[in-house]
Parts: sequence; C-alpha cells; structure tokens
Amino acid sequence: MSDIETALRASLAEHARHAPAGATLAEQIIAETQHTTPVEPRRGRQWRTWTLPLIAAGSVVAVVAALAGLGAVHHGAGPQPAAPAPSATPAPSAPSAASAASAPSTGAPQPSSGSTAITSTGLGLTHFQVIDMTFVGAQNGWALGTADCLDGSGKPCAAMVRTTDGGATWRSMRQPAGAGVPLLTCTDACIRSIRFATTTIGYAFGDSALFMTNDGGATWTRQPGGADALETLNGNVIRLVSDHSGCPGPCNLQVKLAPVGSSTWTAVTLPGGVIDTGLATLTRSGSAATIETSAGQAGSMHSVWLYTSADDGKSWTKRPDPCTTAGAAAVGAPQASQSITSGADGSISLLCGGVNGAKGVTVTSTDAGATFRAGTPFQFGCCAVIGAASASVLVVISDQSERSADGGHTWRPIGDTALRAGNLTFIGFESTQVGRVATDAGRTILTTHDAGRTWSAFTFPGS
Amino acid sequence: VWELLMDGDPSFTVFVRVYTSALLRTAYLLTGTAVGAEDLVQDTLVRLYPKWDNVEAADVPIAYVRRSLVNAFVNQTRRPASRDLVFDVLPERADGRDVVTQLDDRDQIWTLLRTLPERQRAAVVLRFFHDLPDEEIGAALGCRVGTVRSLISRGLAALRGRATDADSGPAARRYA
Repeated sequence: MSDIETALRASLAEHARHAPAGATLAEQIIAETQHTTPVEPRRGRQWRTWTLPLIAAGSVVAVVAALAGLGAVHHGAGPQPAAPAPSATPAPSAPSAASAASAPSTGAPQPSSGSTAITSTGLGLTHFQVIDMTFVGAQNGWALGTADCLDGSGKPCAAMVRTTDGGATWRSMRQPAGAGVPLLTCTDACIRSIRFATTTIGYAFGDSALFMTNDGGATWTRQPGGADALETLNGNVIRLVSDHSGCPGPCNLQVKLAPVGSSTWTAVTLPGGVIDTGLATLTRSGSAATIETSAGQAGSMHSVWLYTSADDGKSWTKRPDPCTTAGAAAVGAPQASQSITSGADGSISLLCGGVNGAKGVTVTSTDAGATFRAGTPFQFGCCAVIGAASASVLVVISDQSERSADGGHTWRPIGDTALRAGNLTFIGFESTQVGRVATDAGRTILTTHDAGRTWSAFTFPGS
Repeated sequence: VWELLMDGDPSFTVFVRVYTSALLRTAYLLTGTAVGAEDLVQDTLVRLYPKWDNVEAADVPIAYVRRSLVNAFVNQTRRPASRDLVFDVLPERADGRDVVTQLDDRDQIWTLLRTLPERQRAAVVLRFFHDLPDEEIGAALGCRVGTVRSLISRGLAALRGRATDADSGPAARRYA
C-alpha cells in the first residue's frame, strides 16, 4: 500500500469522527415521513428539477386576497394534532406595490364561517391550491395553500405541503401550532407566506405573525412581531416589518437582518427616514436586494420608490421609479410600475404599465438599480405580471402571455393557454432556465426548464 | 442485523435510527460539511421512503441506501450551485501565515480530497473508507469496473500531485 493510500485511510477515518451525530437527524427524518400524508400527483408527469428560488419577492397581492377570502377553517393535515395550520411559499415575482389594484385574481375558495380543527384521516389532500412556494436545493420544496378540509365538509382549509423529490410527490406537513391560518380575515396569527433557508430552518409569516422552525417544520416557534416580507439568501434573512395601525398601508417600514436561524434581528436604516407606504415588495437575487414601496395611493406613478442593496441588505440606496424615467422616455407617455422581479443573474426588471390605454414597456437594470434600460413599447394584456429568468429573458403573463429573449425589445406569444394572469397566483424563476407559475388559481403548477420556451403542467389531485 | 430490525418493527423507522449516523459519516466525507451531510442523508432517506419495499428487498439494505446516497451526491453536485449557502463554521481566511505547515498529512489530504471531482471523490471514499470492491463501487456510481479503477487511480494521482505542489509552493497553492 502506498503512502498516499495509508494517509488517505487515516485521514478519512479521522475526519469521519467529525461527522454530525445522527440521533437528532434520525428523529427529524422519521417525523417528516411518518407524520405526513403522501399526496400523489394526478398526472404522471414528473418534476425534473427544482432548484433554489433565485427570485426573492414580496407578498403577492393575489395571495393576500386569496387568504382574505377563505374561511376561518383550519386544516390539520396528516397524522398530527388537531391544530390550526398555516401554509408556505416560494419566491415569486410580485405585482408592483403601485399596481395592487390590478393584481391577478386568484379564484379563491369561498369563505366559510366558524373555525373547525381537523384531525388527520390519513387521506391525501384534495383540491390543494398553491398560494406560495419555496425551494431549497433541487429536491426540497414547500408550498402554502388551501385544500379540502379533512372533515369532508368540502370547505377550504389552509394546508402546508412539502416535497423532497423535486415535486414528484407532495406530503402534508405540520403547521405552526396555535397559528391559525385565518382564511376569511387575516387576524393576529395570519400567515400568508413561507420561506425555507435550509431543509430544517424555515419561516412562516404574515403582517402580524412570524414563526420559525429549526427542525424542518416538526415544531414552530413564534417570534415577536410579523413580517410584511421576508427573504433568505446567502445565510442571512432580510425582513420587512411595520406597524399597521393608523395608516392605510405598512407604516414606519423597517428593514431587519438576522443570520439564518437566529431570533436576534438587527435594524437597518433606510434612507429617507420614516416610510409610510401602501405596499412594500422585497425581491432578492444573490447579494442584490430591492424593496419597492408605494408611498401614496396605489397606481400613482410618482409615489413609487426603489431601495436597492448590493450587500445582502446591509446598506440601501433610494432611487426613483424607473418607469417614470426610463420607461416613460421609451414610450413617450406616462408609465407606472406594475410588477417587479429579480432575475437569476441579479438583474432587476419592472413591468411598466401605460396610463389610459397607452403601451407599456419593461425596464431592466444590471447594475443593482443604478441605471435602467427600456425595451420596446408593447401593448401588454390585462393585469400583466413579469417574471425574469435573466436580464435578457423576460416573461410577461397576462391574458396574452409573451416572452422576450432580448431584454424586452421583441416579444413572442407563449402558446400555453394556461399561462394567463387572471388565474395566476405565483410566478418566479429559480435560475436562468427553471421557472414556475402557479396558475388555475393555484391548482396547477407550470414549470419550464428552458427559460420559458415550453412549460409542463402538474395538477394536484382533486382539481 | 437486518433480520432483527425487520422483526416486528417498522423497518424504515428502525433503519433510520440504526444507520443514520453511519450514513452521516459517509455523507460528511463526501460533502465535507456537517450541513451538507445532513441535507444529503435526509434527502436520500426521505426520497427512498415512498419506495421502501425496494430497500427491504435488497440483499444488503444499507448498501442499497448508501448507493442511493452516493448517487444523490454525484447528481446533486452536477446541478447549478445552490444560491443559499449556510456555514456551520466561519470559513477561514488566508492571512498569509504559515498555517499550512501546521497541518499534518491527514489534514492536508482531507483538504485536497475536497478538490477532487465528485465521482473521483466518491470512488475514493467508497474504496478507502468503506473498503468496497470495484464491483460495488461501480454499482454505486453506475459505471463499469474499469471506470472505477480509472477514477480511483486518477484520484490518487491528483492527491499525490497536489500534495507535492503544496509541499513545494506557497501556502495559497494548497487551497487553489
């Protein structure tokens, strides 16, 4: 045996002793598999890859609307204690803060009265509808949504599911105890979004509630306050917090940072002092982060500001709405920010909507928001939202979905008729190739692996 | 052991409790980090859970699971790099001090091992930690015996060459 082989054997034996202990992980794995109920896809199509969400986005107005429209019925899926259950999310492209009024509708379930705690029946979920999704790596994903209550009432309940095989199968999972997911109205513990930083550390949150898990969702711990938006990348978490009393929208918007898994948050000052805004949207890609705020009435084009960071949220620069500058200059008519997203390459893209029926245009920045380049004016359809695989590949989904491969200069229709904004609850690109759209009110997930050229569908059982 | 495990107990649960630590050791040698090892083991076992009958039917269930783990490692690292990076310890900075000379051979080889391509690293770990024969390594990696020998040979050559470079060059070269 050579010296290198001898040294190699000794090195491997020595360092194997530094491997983490397995007892805790074993119990987590057992809990994850034994305490959940498989949800098989209705169709035979397999997810090929799920990669990390690259697009960090804030809450989708449609999501809020969906939750607000659901009854206060809790869904305790899987063999778990009867407890209120919230759901989770991935990183979607978000409607602009200024375009809340034109955000896509969700076809949310009808409200139901009363609150019913459901115990597990061991059956799979039916009629699951995605509200939000989040992915860590190619295989591990979580989705927040609604599904039929397990009591057979036919009423919608909040549900949280996860996949460990890239979306081929989904299982219901334990939701934060005591965190009722108010489906009719968002009350104290309303949770409308979910993010996971690792397979064990995740966050479920709403304006007034924030829960964190350090064990893959087996247990959730409520943290003080809530989160208007929260995104985790690069080992840290950016959280937008505000108080919701005394003004129509988030008041006194603040940015807080924490290491992943930490409950100690550090406040970061945004330029411009106190920010009272109608809506705030957070997107992240790499070290770049963007907050879009609407400081006035929704739809008012002069009320939108961007706050950009190139250092994971440690410092921010305030910038004017690029739709009113680069966008309006390209169209020759007033423009208002309608939707914002981040590309996998760190680019920032906004969809600018024309006022009074004028053409719209996309504007894209590849320098963390310092400058924006406009595409060619185009007549987008109703209620359009934007997704970006990169600075070059843009997808605008409306009642006539279009794709551009040259930064918004030329557009070609996307053939899939399921890609319509009217039924869309989520759009996001995880990489320059992989993107996802939750459509048909969240019943169907469309995935592209070729930067939006073609899309394959996955429909949850019962839909 | 497996027969005993199957005697009246839910096989998956018992298997996980018995073998997770062993799988973590393999995963740690493959990934080089505790977080990566835990993710790899968890992903592997959870993915196998729906088709656990296949594991039970295997001649050597732990070998079947280890094969899946190695496959997951090789396939996982072929994908684009993850966007979320979580460190359980802060990465050390190269500060110019003669840290390298303080490493013994085992530390040096451990560092160099992580520079090998994934399939070479997996083949080396399976051979020199698990002492698996070429045939079983080939089954784990989905390749022929000849390829296994080539992977190990090239891996050892690379380790030997890089170790030589490190011994003769500046500190930074050891980590290039």
